[in-house]
Amino acid sequence: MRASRSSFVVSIALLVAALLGPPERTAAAPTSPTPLAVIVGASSRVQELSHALVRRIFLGEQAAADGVTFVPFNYAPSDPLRIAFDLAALGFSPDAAGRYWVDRRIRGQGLPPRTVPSATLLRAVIARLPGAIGYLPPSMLTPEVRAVRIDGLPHDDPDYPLAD
Amino acid sequence: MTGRSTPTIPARRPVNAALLLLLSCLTGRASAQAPDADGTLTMTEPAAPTPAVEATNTLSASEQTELAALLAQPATIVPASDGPSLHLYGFGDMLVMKSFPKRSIGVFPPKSVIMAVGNVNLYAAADLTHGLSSLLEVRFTYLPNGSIDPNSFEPVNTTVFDYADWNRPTQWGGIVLERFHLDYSYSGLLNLRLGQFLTPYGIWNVDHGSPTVIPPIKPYVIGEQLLPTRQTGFQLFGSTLLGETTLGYALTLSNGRGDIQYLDIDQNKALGFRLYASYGGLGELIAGFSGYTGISSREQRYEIAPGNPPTIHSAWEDSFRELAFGGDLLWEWRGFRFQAELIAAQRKYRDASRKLASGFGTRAGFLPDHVAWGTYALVAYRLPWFNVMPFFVVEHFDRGYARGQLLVFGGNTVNLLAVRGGLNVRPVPQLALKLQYSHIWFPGSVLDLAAPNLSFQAAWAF
Repeated sequence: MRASRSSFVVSIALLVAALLGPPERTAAAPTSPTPLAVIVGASSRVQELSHALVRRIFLGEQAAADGVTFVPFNYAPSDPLRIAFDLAALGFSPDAAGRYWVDRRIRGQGLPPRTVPSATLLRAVIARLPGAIGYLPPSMLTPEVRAVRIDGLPHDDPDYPLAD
Repeated sequence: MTGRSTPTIPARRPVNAALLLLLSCLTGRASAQAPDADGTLTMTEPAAPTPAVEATNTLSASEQTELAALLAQPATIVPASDGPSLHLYGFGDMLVMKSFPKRSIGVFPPKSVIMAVGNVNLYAAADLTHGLSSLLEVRFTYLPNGSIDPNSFEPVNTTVFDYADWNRPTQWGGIVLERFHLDYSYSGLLNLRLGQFLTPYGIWNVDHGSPTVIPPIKPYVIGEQLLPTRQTGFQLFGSTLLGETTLGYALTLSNGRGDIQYLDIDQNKALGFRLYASYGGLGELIAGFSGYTGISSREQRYEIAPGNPPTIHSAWEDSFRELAFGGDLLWEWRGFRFQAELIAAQRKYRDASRKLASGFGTRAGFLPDHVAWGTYALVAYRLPWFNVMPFFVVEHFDRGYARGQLLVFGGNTVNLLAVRGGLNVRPVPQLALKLQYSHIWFPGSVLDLAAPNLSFQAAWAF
């Protein structure tokens, strides 16, 4: 009986330890979060997407528009661009995004989009791979890629969903 | 849109970063390149290299190499000659549970503290080629060791002498094939799945993995399988986006429920469906409706009738036609989560194949036709501190017959009312720590087995 109680106390202590463990440090976000633009290749027929469709694409659901089946590319979870995009486009904090993809894999609903290590590489992939879609800061736009309008708004519109 | 105004970004702890690195290694790829939207099945070759442009000139040597690899192997597609790409991952859990029953029958409910590895599930996911993928999920278990034989009610002992260890005793366990299927994706709206799959109904049955579900123990109505947990056959499924609403469906054709997954002994296929709508305008709101019908039979014996040639007749231990429906609702908004399911199932037995009631505390006799139903509702909120989520669950189950009796074995249990509450903590996305207090009542039971229960579970994805 004593052993039983001890075991249970240990179990509870484990949970309490998790609860009282060191808090996550929070870093102040940039005073003006990085604005982002969703991009496709310059030769793509896609001109405009809805915010709901962008969410669907980057949440791992199969999606198509204008005859194009999208292949999303993303950044590593710790990349500031990824963190900003997850928050602005998907409504996910980094932890919520992590939980989403872990849970989705356990459900058997698929794996997350492929990641690339840098915005320059992502831009090069988007430019060359039909159907590829990604995002980057507007300052990195070049003629080989094109920012798509979201819900009818261009990327330089203050109300563009990824503008803040 | 949720969360846009959140001004702070949590910094990653080292352990978090390491686990995420592991996760990204396991999953570092994009979704499979799919057929064109018009359904044309054409393998998209990497675009021909374009003349050097400014962007390419800014790539480092390593990035140039990686770009070439990405373009040569876009998304997850690999040339068939190179074989499929295989990803291994899984989840497991450990449960510590203590019940405080006023009384018990034999080992039920157990009075001692139970510590058990409950699930060890391994996944093998592979993209085979264009639009084709495969998923295997198996559960490793100690069972059948220590279980009770459903026919003899004798304990099962799998102890054997290990020839590789001087014939010392060891116990073997088992493997449960949770699912194994091949998927062909024609478009977002049309996908075909064949093999053994989890029945696409409700919320819990597909979530099913211990790190994903919030409480440590599944609701009673889910465990009772009013709709079968899994089926073997075909499934059509898909979804489409209309405005901010996703509409989806699933249709199933299978052998149906039965003890033998690879046989359809009553030669009657089961049909099922699921329809759902998901609205993303206010968090995530999903409402679904599912149905299933078929004949379920358990074969017990064969009889050989003399003749030339002799004929073989089979007799069923029990056989019934079932019709089941389930509704589900899930609303996630910021940290708030509400989910509920309501399931009802009608079972009509063939007169010659009625199931004989078995177990403790029950009157002997054959089971009547009946309608069983159950429901649960879960409310939870993910706090901003330490990813702590308090949750509260209420559930009810009505077997539809023999109210007040207690059937422990044989696949049928009792009518009950349960409340549960606790905490779900996910210090990192791959780990869930759960603490739960529950109380279960058995209304009208002649045996008062009401049992408070305290349980702790650590569940992790790997």
